[in-house]
Amino acid sequence: MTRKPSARSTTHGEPLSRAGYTIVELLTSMAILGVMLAVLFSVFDQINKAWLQGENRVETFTAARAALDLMSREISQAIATPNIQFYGDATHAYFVAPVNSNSKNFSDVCEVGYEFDRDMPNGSQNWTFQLIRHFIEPSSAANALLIYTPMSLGSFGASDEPVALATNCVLNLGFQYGTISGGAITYSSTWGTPNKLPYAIVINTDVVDSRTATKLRLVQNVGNNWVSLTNSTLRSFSTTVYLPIIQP
Amino acid sequence: MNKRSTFNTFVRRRPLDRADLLHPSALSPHPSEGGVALILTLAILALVTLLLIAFVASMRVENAASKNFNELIKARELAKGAIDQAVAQIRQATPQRAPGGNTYVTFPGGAYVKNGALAATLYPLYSDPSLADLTNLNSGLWITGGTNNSGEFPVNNPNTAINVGWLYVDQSGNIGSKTVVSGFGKPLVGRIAYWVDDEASKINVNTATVAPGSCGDALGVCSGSNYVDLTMLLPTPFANAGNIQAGAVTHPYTTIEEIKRASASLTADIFDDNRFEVTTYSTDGNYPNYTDDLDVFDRQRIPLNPATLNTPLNITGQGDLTGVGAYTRLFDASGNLAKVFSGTGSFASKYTAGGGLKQLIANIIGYQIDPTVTAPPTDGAVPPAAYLGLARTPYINQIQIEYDATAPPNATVSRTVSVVLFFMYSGNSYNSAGEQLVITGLPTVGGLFSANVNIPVSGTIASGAYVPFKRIDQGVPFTGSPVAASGTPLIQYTRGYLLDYAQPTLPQNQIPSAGGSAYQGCQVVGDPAVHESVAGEWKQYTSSTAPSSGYPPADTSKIVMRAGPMQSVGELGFIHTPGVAYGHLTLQPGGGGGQIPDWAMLDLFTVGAGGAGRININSLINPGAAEPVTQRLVPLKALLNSVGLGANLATVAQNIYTRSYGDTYGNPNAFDTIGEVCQIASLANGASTQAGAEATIRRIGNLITVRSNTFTIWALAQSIRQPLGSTFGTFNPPPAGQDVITGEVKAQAVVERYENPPGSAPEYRLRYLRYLYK
Repeated sequence: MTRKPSARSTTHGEPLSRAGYTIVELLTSMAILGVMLAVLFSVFDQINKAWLQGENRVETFTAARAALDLMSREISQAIATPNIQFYGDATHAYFVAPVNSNSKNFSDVCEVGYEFDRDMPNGSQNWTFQLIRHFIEPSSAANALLIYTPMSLGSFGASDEPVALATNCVLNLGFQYGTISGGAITYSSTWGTPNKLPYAIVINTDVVDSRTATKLRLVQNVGNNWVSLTNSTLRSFSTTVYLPIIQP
Repeated sequence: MNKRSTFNTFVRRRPLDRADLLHPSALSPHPSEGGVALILTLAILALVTLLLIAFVASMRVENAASKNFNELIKARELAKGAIDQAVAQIRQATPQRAPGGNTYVTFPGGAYVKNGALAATLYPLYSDPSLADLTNLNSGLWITGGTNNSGEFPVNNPNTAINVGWLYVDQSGNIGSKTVVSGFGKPLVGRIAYWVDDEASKINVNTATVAPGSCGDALGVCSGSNYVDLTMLLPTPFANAGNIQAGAVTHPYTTIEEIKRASASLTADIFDDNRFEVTTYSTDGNYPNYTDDLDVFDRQRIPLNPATLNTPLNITGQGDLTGVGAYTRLFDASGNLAKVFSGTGSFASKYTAGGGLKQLIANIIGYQIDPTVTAPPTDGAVPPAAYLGLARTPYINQIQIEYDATAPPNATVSRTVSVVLFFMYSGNSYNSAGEQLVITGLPTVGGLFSANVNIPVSGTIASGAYVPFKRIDQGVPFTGSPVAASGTPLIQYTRGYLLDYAQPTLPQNQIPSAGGSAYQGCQVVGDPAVHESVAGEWKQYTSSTAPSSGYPPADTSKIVMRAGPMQSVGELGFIHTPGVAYGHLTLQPGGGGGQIPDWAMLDLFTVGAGGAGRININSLINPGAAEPVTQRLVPLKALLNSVGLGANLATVAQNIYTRSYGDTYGNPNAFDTIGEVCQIASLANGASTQAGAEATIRRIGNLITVRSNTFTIWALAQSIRQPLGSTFGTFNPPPAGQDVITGEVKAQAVVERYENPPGSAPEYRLRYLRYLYK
């Protein structure tokens, strides 16, 4: 940008080589600068939003993918026998599967359970949202026999752990259990024959990004603020797992 | 306008004069303003660039993560595809069986399918057996176990190779060998390899028990798969056998690794030694209840218990139009069973005399009935039944009728009827109190004597004892001549009815002529257990009334009666063969004698429920495209232990494993039926008696099978990425090419073949799936 030389002169009659600015110029330039900054800010804001949106989206998909992959991979290996049960209801799935990779353990089969935990611990004002993986590893003979004990809900112990990649991001978890008859699959929200496996299991989950999840943790009343906080970022995912043992 | 000219225009708009040089801002203000803009522009550009770089970097990472995840999923799906491919192969190799049609046997890594009279065809159960593009599946999946901790060769030999071929999968779904898939020219997505193991050739840890030396009842018979001996696990004797058994009772094992929970001393290394030898799930029966026990043609075996056999359907074949009855199965008019072996006829043509197959069935019934039961087996006819089974009663060993006359003028004549009873069933005795022998139709000698004579018997007749009973009628005045002028004896012995329903009636025989004042006749039965109509059944006795040294024959070891339900099909060796004096079904090498061997009968009958835990004697490992270096001998040793084979145990196990036959029947590369094991060299254990030699088959007859319904599939899958520029369809890894393996998944699956209902088309289901990591 260039500027025309000023017409004003010094007291010595010499033309000023560097003239001052008029208030109009200043205002004009400030206005222009303001507009520019506003535009820039707007651009950056949009970029930031787009960035965050992209990040959130990626994070949401990553978390959902990790959670669903882990659950579906383990559920697909589930076992049910006259001695080993499969428990399933609308929000929990407990089963036994050969998911243990430590050959030094007493067995390769472990007790695994999945449930979604939304809680406000005592003394805290913050909510916690966790996809919990209940896990009994047969590191001792006693533990190995636990897998034959009918599972009881709510008895989470030290071995239970949040699913690391999906920590805090999962906001809901649901299961449906399918039976096949005449080639048609019928789903229900509970599984009533614990010594047999379902033909298929549908896993439904709602996932948000960690930023939204953090905001959710801080609100006092999750129920009333759920929609407004998650409206833009919450995504629902679903996958169907077909189990190996088919009872004709 | 280029950049330099722009710069000149911007900075050096005019030449500097003196005033410019004196002014404090001699080199400004214009350049400074322009600089701010430049800095601002550069800053914005830098910021945007940074944002862009960060975004691109983030996207690259996310993209790579997504791709990696995708490749892993791809590999996992390929592994499932490998399992499906293996199931398809198993499906081909285990077709529906039917008389005269298909039948098959299975073994680790393969199956033989026989269609009618055609020779058996080998169906390899692993991937791509014909090409050199191989991978050693054992090195990645530790199928045979890890290190050789026990020192037992060749089990768990770390050099063991299960070399199978790679099957390639391209983008269009084509699957096949390298050559086949390269012909399509489509980008590869992965490759798979698999091998199928036979679960029935292993020890089922849920049914086997600690059974060293404990097998066998009074007849040396073992009834069920619980007599597969866990102590033969490695190292032998296996210290934790009892713990494994106890663990199975508490909670049946779901996977083989669970046997480690049996005891803290059963370490991972010891488990590794045995992992190739054990299973938790093995069946050779049909879904759903595993009580169906099927013969070579998928027909239900006939239960040997009297309740089932003792029907008109089984004894006479009346109304049996479906081939389910014992008579029809033995008759086998089309000779299906013989075709499996060597086309040497059917049992109907082998056993024609003495009531033939019907009497054979009656004998099986008689072998099992309670000694207190006196009613004969029914054959649906009005009493007396035509086909009488053996009874646990004393048999007449010899009978002598003697007439002695004193010289005239006060001639008298005496009649002595002597009978020697023999009770032959070992381990038992017969209380004869209150019984009597009734001999009828005797010569009356002109009315001097009654035609009938009753001889009371008493006391306990011990096993193997010959007990004489006698009745003498003497001093009867006699005026006639004992010999007619024509030379025909006046005294004619006609017949005698004996003690029980199972006894033969005497044929009409001429009393040998005798001179002087004495007339005597004597008959000794060759084999009292045979049916009356057998020609030559009764043999003339010529020397004395004492039991002859020639009767019965020296080997009486098979004269045994169970008097209760059979415990093993091996007990068929105790069944008397109609029409053959002192003959029994023979379960030994060379048992055919040019005809269908008796041991083929083992496949037609069953005792109790079939199902889990039987050992597949077709256990030779078909490792893939290499010579076998691994043997699975432990289950065979566990099967054979307790028979008293002693040092022969290992030899016999090896002979079964390698099918070293005494005689070869049917397919020389596999056992077609369980009976064929009787042909194995050294299985007959060298005992001096037939029953002793058949002790092994009596022990294992109920514990073996030749085909499995459960299979373990070991699968390895790798996803492949072929970048642009690669030769699509041909895997060409670095350094020569650019193709990369992007993911790998190993999986183990247990597949079960079942028929529901039995006899319907077979179906296959996955019972167990595990992704393996190590």
